[in-house]
Amino acid sequence: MSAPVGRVGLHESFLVYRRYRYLKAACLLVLVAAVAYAAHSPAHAPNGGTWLGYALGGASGALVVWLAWFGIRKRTYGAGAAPLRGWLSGHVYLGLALVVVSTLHAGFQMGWNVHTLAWALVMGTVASGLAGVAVYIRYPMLLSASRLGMTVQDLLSQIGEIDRECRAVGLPLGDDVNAVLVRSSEETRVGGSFRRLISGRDPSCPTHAARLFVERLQAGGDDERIRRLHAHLVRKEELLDALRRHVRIAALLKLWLFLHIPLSVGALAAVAAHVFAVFFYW
Amino acid sequence: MSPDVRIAIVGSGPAGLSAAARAAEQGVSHVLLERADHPSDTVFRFQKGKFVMSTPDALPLRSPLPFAAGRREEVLAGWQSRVVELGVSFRANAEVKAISGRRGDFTLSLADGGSVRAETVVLAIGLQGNINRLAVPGADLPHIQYQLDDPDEYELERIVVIGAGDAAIENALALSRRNTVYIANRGDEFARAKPANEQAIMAAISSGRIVPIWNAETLRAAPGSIAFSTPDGETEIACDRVIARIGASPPRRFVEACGVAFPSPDRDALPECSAQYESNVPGLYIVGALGGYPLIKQALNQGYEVVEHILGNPVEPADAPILRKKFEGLGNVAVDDVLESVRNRIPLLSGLNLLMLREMMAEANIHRLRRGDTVFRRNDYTNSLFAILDGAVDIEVDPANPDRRVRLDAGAFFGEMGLISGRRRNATVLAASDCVLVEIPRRTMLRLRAAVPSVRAELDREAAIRQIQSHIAPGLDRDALAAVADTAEIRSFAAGEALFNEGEPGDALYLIRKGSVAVSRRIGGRETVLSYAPAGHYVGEMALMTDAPRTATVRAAVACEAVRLEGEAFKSLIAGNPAIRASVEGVFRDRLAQNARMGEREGAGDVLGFLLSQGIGEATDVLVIDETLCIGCDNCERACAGTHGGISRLDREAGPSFAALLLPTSCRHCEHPHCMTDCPPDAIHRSPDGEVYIDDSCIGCGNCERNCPYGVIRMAAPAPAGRSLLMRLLFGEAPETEAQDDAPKKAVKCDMCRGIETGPACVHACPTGAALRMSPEVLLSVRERPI
Repeated sequence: MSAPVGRVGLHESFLVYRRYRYLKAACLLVLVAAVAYAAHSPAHAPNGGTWLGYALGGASGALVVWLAWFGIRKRTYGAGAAPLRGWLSGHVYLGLALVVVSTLHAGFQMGWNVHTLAWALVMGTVASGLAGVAVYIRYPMLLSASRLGMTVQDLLSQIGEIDRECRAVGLPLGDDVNAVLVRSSEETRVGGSFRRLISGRDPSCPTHAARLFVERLQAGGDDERIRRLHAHLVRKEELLDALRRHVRIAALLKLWLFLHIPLSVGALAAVAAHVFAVFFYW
Repeated sequence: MSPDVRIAIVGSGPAGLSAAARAAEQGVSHVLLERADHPSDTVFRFQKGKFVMSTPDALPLRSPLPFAAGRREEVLAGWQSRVVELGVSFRANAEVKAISGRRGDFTLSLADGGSVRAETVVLAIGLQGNINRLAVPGADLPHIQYQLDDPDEYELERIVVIGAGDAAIENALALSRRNTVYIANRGDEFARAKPANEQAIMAAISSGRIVPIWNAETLRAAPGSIAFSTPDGETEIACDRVIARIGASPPRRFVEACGVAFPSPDRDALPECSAQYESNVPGLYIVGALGGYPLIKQALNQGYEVVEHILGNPVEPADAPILRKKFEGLGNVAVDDVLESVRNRIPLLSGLNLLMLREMMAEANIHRLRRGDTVFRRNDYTNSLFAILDGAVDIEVDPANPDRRVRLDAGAFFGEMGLISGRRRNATVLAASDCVLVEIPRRTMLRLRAAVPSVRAELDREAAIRQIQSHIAPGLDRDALAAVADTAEIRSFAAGEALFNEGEPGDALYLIRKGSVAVSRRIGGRETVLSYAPAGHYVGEMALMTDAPRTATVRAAVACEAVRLEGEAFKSLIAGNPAIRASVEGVFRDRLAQNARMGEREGAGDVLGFLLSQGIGEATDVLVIDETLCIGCDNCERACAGTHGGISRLDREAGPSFAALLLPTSCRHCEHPHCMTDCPPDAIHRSPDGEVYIDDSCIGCGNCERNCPYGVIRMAAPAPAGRSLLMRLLFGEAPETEAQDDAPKKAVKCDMCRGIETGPACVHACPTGAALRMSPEVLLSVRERPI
């Protein structure tokens, strides 16, 4: 007995949805478009104005609208016959097919005009979408592993707990120690700037500084309180690391959308302008 | 010396207050004795502004006191003004310590040394009992309290909770959200508490959210502190508040001291009363929760009725119209005649007293079926029990061969398998002739089974025979099975308890009838789970077939019940029946093969063990997220909220995970739902498709939330309307907002999107295919495959 496609055997990724139904559909679409394009010999060079050009343009336009509709479908719950993963499957594969269909529609004619702008924005949208697929394949496992088996809320409350403990343990120690501990508990940030978010690191982390400070003290002599403080801070750094890793991966899983969505809105607008221009000014 | 009053009423809850009001209305001399300094202490102690429901809706109200669903304050004010208007004779701070005497001459001794003499006594003291107080100096200081009405009332305080029971744990946990909390336990464990509470408190202690004081004897309290003696010496804790939850003495001891008998030593047993609510002590009447009627409206009605009974006025029980309506279809027959014929014709129910029978019939349904009509189908998820009042039914025992039928005649019952196992119906039942059936709901039947020994014995005996027939020896009649069936014994096992251990001699076969078991073996010094067997399967055949010691350990994966059959009797049964021998050998070979497979696969047993440790063994449908696919977008939660009034019943992140399988906090629709066990309005049901859902009659008491070991139920007020699609497209999802505090809260849980055609919205809305709902059989068998 061996597991069917997919790792678990029951869960089916959007990429393999219904035995690659949409991959097959996309291949068929590309094939039909390519064959038609090769067989077609218009009077002038191939362009969007021939009958095939109009057909491919119509198909591309319909695809663009349908692909954009995903944003609405995703937010409509408990409706629609096909599950959302089916839609995403189609969104990915048919979106890829759009690269070929729309390029054939243009007949490889590019220029500095609104038509090529529409094409370029569509290409950009698809490229950013591909990045999304890559991210969706690579990061999910790391996301759950990053939480050390706890929820984000657990991580935060444990960190809060350690802060309280540290303040209590540090109280009888010197002002310098307490100042460092206060900074560690009040000024430690997770994320904050784009760079810190995406790198998952904070070189100027006050908790890290506090641990180093306490380690220097420890070198000076054995003190029960310092030892406990050190253990707490080591644990806190561990938890902070996990949290930063988690936030980083969660951010990466969404980052591409900040390209994909604006590009798709732009593409939609440019395609509309392109269609408008074609029918009113040609 | 003549009695002071005609009726003395003890306890001024809804039942007692209603009785006193009716007595006042009728101009009968009476006194209402209340231990607290105000009437209706239980309702009085409801959280401020709590919405009080008026279920059961079908029951007409019959009381001088007004009552409709509304806020606690409105309900209390309505009662208070009526009590004043009627001139009820009310004595506050009058705790009754003892009742002696008999009809016409009772003496009620009060705590303050006084006494009241009465002709009759109405006991309406409820079930809460007397709250135990600390017996140390300072126990009455203002910072010491003995209950907690609203944990959210306190913030940033240092609070010491004393006690080791459920009440103490629940208080401590709720308070720890906003306060620094200590919990003082006289022992060093929380074994008395419900398992879920025990786990929660231990988790809170190990994460440092609550500070325990173990082996702590309370010494004294002083303003702003409390002192304990511990093995490490005396310790004094400065605190703002002490909450002592050290139990209550249940009213049973007091009631028994009054001479009232209880039918069984069972903790939940209630005193037995006549249809007029009279106990075995003539002249002593029992009403309200102590009489088995926990709902406010029932209690109000009983208060009215009991006074009428005492006055000798004929009063038709409040349920009579309900029963008449139920029996309408039977033609023009008197209610009492129907009840009598039910008791005479159906042996299972012959042991019921009239009051139980009435109550049962009020909850039961009468079905008149034509020949050929279907009663229920195989794989339906209904779990009521049917008894045949008239006519006969056919059971299709073999799905492959619909012509093979077993006939049951009038007086017999069926449907007990679904009731016991909590699983799908295993046969289709058709009316063999025009017939009349009594359908008894699961909850009613479970109550009867617990209360009436003859019902339990009859049900278990018949069920055991039928289970042997359907799961081990199909086709054999009861005579051929008699030798084995006579050895049948119903055994219950707690979760984790072993039915038998590896290496023990094999002396019996166990047929699982409720819950499920895990089969494991020691491999490399560790107990590794090899397989799981749900209800309807048997274990222990290997040792019997081979006459060798047990090769594996079988443990209850969840609380389970098994029919134990003597090994020798079983061996002689299969010796005489080659067909049965062949089928048992088939099961035996399959199991050998599977054990070998699992033994070889690194980690597969661990996954199975993990799933079983998470209670999958009692689930019927589990949400499982594949972490290799989950992108953490929370569209599942949003879809859940979007299809359920803005409140998600699923917490994706909060759930255990193992080997990339995440079990989010979401209802598993248990075979025997824990949430159903103690729902006063009976608002939790299982639909024929299997979903466990809560209907609108929820009164918001929170019992289900506490009873659910998986934490999937929460109390929530309706959420404000969410953003429109356009707004969500432009600005994203609105954060889940807290509803106003004073809105009535009801229990919400996953209903598997019943009524939504596309199935569970969480699964439907998962973009990557990470979320799936599946039955444990599918989940557990899949996990045997390589990872």
